Amino acid sequence: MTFIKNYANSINITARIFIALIGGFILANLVAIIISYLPADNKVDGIVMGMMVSFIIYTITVLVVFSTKTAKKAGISVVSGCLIAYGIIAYLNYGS
Amino acid sequence: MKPRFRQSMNWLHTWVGFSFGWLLYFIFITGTTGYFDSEIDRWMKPEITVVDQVINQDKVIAAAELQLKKLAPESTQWYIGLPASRTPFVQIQWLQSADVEKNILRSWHKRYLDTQTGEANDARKTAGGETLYRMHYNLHYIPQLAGYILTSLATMLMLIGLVTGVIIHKKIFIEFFTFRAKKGIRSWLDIHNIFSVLPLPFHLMITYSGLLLLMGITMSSVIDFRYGEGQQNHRKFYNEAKLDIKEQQYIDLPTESFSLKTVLNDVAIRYKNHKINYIGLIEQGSKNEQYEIWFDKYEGIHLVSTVKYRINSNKVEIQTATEKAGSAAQIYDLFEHLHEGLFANIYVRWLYFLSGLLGAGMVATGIILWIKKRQINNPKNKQLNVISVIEHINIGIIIGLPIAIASYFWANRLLPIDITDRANWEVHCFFIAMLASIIFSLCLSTRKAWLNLLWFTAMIYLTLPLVNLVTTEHNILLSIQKSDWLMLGFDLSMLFFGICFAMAAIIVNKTKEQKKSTPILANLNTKKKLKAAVH
Repeated sequence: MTFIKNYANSINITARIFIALIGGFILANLVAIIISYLPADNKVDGIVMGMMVSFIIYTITVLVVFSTKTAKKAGISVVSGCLIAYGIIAYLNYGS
Repeated sequence: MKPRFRQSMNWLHTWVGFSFGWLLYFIFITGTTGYFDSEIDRWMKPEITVVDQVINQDKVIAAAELQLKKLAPESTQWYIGLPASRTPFVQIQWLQSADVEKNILRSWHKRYLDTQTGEANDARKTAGGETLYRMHYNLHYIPQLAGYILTSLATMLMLIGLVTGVIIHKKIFIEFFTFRAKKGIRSWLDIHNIFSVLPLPFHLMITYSGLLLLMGITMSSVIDFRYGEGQQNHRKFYNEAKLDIKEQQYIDLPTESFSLKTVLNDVAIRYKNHKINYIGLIEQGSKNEQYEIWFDKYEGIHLVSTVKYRINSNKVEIQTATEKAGSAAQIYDLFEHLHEGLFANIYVRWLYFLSGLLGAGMVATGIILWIKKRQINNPKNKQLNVISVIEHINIGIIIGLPIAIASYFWANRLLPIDITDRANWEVHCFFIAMLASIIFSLCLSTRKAWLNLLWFTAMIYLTLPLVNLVTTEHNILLSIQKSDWLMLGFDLSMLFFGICFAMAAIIVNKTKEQKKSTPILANLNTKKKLKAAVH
């Protein structure tokens, strides 16, 4: 356990970088897919809109990940965000 | 992260900016040269004869057609480019279709027409302005996909850097007008703020639109999910996304006499006030014979009016495209046009150029700040100091990139004309020059590196018009005589940049001397104060 204690700061930062880069990317993609369902009559336009908004989602996610108190909290919020988004997509896919 | 939100954002801003800083600097500088890609291209092809008087359009088109018939009788797509403000010469282009038997790849070819003699001339083999600006998203040496992903990642971090930068500044408006000179790190911070805040709308626009331009690659999983994986599905998506709203109408033109001549006559009557920029002759003589007329006209930021003439069920039909069908696609178009700035006239173009340079300056001062802060926190006492190595590489890159661009131009004039792979060698010269300047900077003290590199840059920019004079028949006086404004503008710009670098060298020389007399960082008290001021 002393290893973790000694390098607590580095581990904390590394974890956040991974959560932000990879988690943020996954979340941005999932939200983009949800948005692509929004215009019911124009699938292509929805996809374009989703992809355009995804970069804003990514930015916000990164800001949140680096502003929370602990890396654990950041991880939990991103993962739960992804799960909720995945649930919505599954529901939309099931519905259509 | 840190106890306060703003402190965490400050940390994020620092590291996000630093981690991809050098790549962002490269992207900013090479991308900025793209706003003058046609002008650079013209300079790098000195063989082109510029049209300096009013031309007889019919005669020129006839001559161009004759040359196309001679050069590419089997090609299905011909284009004739008429003189426009950024390309004041006549060019002909054709598509060479792929031929597996003869081992010919599908490619576009280009020649320049001498309006006096009617001859089609080839220019020297050069990478041109296009390769220079394409570097800012394909990074040249690495595989295309890797280049796109790396630049997108850097751009993403840039966007995060901009947003966090706005968050951490309480007095964003006041910082517009704040500059405290000769205060060491404080002055660097002020410059960084001025470079960032003043053109902030440009920075946000160029960063976000840059991300959008590559979103088909970085966010392709969305297309995969909704449209299915594979190239075919993707192509289907793009075809639909790029759909324009089209207006068709039939005109009174007998199909028997449907030819370029009658089409041009019709254009002259129908679009009296428009100037033709390009004429496309597609599949001449076949059933699908089609003519495209591109006008040199921008409405707002959109290129308007491309007219297509073709035969549809025994009638001549004209087709104009107005805008994208989807509303999101329209917004995408807006950002794309803003990013490329093709609509810009010469004044707006220079504004774009200046904004791009300010962006590069923002990144460069940001990295310098990062280094200076760390030098205050850990005074130089170790033998091998990572920070000081970074500082030297940084100087090598900041000044090395302008040197590289100048070397690219020098290479264009000095490399032997018939060398194989000439265009590639120009690009090699670009990167060799940059590497050399980094190595040079590593070998000297920082002060000497700054001074020597700045003087060297000034020298190579100031002598570029001379090189032009010696190696080609072009020079500043002759350009004025021939009203070859692009050639003249390029030479004068190079002189201007040379003077700017020389002035920078003089300023660096002076400030350092003053610093010696009043060493700001000498006593510990000021150090502490500075630390407090920076945080």
